[in-house]
Amino acid sequence: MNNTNIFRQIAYFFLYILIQIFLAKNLVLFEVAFCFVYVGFLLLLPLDTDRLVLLLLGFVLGLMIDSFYDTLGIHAFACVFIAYLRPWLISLLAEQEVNYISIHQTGWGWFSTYSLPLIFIHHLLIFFIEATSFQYLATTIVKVVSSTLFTFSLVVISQYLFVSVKK
Amino acid sequence: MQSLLLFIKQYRNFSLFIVLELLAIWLIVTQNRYQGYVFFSSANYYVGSVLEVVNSVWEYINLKNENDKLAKENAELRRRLSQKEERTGWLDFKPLEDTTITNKYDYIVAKVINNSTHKSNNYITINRGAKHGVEVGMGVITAEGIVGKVKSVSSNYATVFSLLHSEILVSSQIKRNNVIGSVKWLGNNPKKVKMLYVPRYFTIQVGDSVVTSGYNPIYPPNIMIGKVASSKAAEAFYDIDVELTNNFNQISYVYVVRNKLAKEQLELEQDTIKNEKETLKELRRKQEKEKQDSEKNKDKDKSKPTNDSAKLKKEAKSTTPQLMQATDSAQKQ
Repeated sequence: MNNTNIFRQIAYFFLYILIQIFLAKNLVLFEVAFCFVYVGFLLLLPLDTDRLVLLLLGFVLGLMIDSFYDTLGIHAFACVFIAYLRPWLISLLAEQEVNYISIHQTGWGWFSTYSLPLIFIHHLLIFFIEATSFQYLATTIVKVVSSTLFTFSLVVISQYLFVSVKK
Repeated sequence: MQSLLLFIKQYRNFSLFIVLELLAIWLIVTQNRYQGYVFFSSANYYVGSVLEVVNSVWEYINLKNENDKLAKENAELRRRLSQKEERTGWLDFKPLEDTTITNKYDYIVAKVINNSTHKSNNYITINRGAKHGVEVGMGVITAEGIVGKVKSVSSNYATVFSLLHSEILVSSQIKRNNVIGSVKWLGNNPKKVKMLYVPRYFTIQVGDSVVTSGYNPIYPPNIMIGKVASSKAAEAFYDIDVELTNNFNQISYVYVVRNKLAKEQLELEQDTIKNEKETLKELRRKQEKEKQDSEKNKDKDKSKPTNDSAKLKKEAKSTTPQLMQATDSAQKQ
């Protein structure tokens, strides 16, 4: 990764946090679908990102989101978890040669099999740790599934809006 | 060698992963116990300032609504003032007031800059902090009802436990017949709470107002909480659903309640609990002593002939009424 790329990623880091806090935090559909579009940052990091850097970035990103949501530790836990799973999942999906992660490059099929499970696990962890019990199991599962779809669609839309098409 | 290095590299990733996850779990588990986490909460200066900017953008959407609310509150306060003047003003008669008690509540106006209602533990952030006199444990209310209790304070901001939090219990009563209970949120619906511990021998009607009881030093008495939406008789207590009067989705300005006598009340209550324990201990000691004494007496009685013991009993009976009279007169004095 060269220097300009690092600066670009740092800019993305803050951009995603700002979008999450200014916009996505207030987006709630039907009181069940929440948007955590900031995980897009972890999903779209370059392929050659060092695993240790990935874990640390996940932790710091989660902690910053936690500060704004007053859910100390919960987002950090979920982010570190998917940051750990990410390289493993990419190697599983290695059949298709991928140079960098973006929906324009990888196509819909690869991108959704890659990002949907990670977003789902992230949301599952967040909602269940937050609920601290299985008392409202059905509601929590509905929240997890609907939020996963919501977040996924926003991650996709943001790519069409902000990432220039490179082929 | 290469495989060994690879193994170490993988192992390093895994150990960092475990360390970070344990750190996160530790933060989750201890976050409500310590006040020291102000830095990682919305009360943090930088987080607070960003939230304030965010709020100033979204605020315009609710501005009209907020105006209506303030106008309503003004009208209500005007009505109460005129009522009071009507009652006391024209007679030139002023009841004596104990100003330390009538002026015991102070209100600090604050703006909500961050709010959530859909989590299982909700918090509110306000733009007033230690600098403005906000302290941990103070109550937070609006004109429509109670909001919560201050959790942590930084110099400019404060984080508040919303009533929609799993660890908040509010001492409350039903206004119509002063039945005491506790209000608790169950975690699913941000518009409803449960009222617990109301015994079944009271009558509960749908529509009864539920207000704060005034048995706690946090909230002033008679602050609205909600209205009874439905009540079912469960085993020993009623199962009461209360519909909140406050719309937690639209809270924008709140009052932080400063009870000047709160510290005194809490200290006194703790002292009495301590004293009670001590007096109980003393009582037990006395009882044990009496037991020992009576055992000694029995030993003596056995040595004496039976007639004497009967006489003793008679004497004891004749002396008891006199004793009773004595205690009665003591009580009257």
